[in-house]
Amino acid sequence: MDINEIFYHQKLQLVTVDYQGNIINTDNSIFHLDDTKNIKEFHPIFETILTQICEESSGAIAIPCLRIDNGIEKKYCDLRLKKETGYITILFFNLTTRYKEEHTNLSINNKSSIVENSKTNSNHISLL
Amino acid sequence: MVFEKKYRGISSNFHREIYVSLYLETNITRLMPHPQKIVILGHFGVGKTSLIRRFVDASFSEDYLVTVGVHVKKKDIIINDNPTTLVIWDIEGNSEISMSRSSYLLGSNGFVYVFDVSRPETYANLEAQLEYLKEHFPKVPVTIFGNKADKFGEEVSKAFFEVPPFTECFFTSAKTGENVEEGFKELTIKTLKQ
Ligand SMILES: Nc1nc2c(ncn2[C@@H]2O[C@H](COP(=O)(O)OP(=O)(O)OP(=O)(O)O)[C@@H](O)[C@H]2O)c(=O)[nH]1
Ligand SMILES: [Mg+2]
Repeated sequence: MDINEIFYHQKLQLVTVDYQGNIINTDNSIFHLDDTKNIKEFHPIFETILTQICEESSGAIAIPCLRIDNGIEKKYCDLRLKKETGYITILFFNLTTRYKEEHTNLSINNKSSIVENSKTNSNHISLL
Repeated sequence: MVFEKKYRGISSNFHREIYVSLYLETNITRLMPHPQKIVILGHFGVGKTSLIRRFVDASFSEDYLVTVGVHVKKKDIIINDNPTTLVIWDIEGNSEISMSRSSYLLGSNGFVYVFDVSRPETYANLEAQLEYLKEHFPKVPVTIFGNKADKFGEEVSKAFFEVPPFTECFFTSAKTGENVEEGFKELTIKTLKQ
C-alpha cells in the first residue's frame, strides 16, 4: 500500500509523548485521544513499553498486530515507537481488515488441528 | 530524618499539608515496583486467554476464540502487602517459542509456559521449550502451568504428571479457577526478586 493511500484512508496515526507517557501531540485519525492525558490510560501496553524503549539501545520498537479494544470496536494495529531527545513518537497503523482475515484462517486451522490430534490421541490414558 | 528537618521549617498549616502529601506521594511511587511485563506462552488452544480472563476478570467461557497477534491486559495485585501491577501479554499460540514474533518477548520480566494436560502434543516438547527460554532469556523467571486440570480423572491421568519435568508445574484450571491466582503470584514473587 502506498503512503498516500495509507494517509487518505486514515490508516495511520502519529502521537508524541514525553518519557512518562504524557501526550504532547496527536492527530485523531484512528483513535480520539483529545481527552486522554497520558497514553498509559489509553492502552496498558504503554505501562512497560515506554521504559523498555528508554533502555533499548536502538531506541526503537515495533509491535505487530496489537489488539486495541476501545469498548466500542476492536482494532488491530501495528505499532512503532521511536525514542527522540525528550520525547517518544508512536505510530499506529490500522491493519484491522488484514488481521481479521488472518484471524479467520488461524481459527479454522487451529480448530481442525486440535480435532485431528485428538483422533490420534483419543485415549490418553492408554498411551501412558 | 530529612523529612523531619524540612517539615519543621515549614510555617503555615496549608503548606505543611502540601509538603506532607508530596513527600508521601514521591515515597510511595519510589516504593512501588515498576509494572512487570508477563508473557504467556504455549501451543494454541491450551487456555492462555482463558487463564488471563480467569485471573483478571474472574470469568470463563467454553468458546474457543483464537488469539491473533497480542492482547494486553493489566492487573493490580498485592504481594506481601506491596501493590504491584502486572501487564500481561496474551500472545497467539505456537508449538514452538522460536516461531513467536520476537518483539513480543523482548523486555519481559516473567514468562508463563502453558500446556494442556489433555493434549500430549502440547507438552511433548516442554523440556526443549524451557531450554530455549533458559538460553535466550537466562535472567527471566518462568512458571509452568499444566492447564485444564479439571479434566484429571477418567480421561487424563494425574499420576502421569508426578515425575520430572512436571514436578515444578502448577496444575491449573481456568474453568474452575484452581491454582490460577497461586501460579501468577508465584511468578510475580520471582520477577520482583530479579
Ligand atoms: N475444561 C477446560 N477447558 C478450558 C480450560 N481453559 C481453557 N479451556 C478451553 O480451551 C479452549 C481454548 O482456550 P483459549 O483460552 O482460547 O486457548 P489459547 O491458549 O488462548 O488459544 P490460542 O489463542 O489459539 O493460542 C476454549 O474452548 C476454552 O474454553 C480449562 O481450564 N478447562
Ligand atoms: Mg488465546
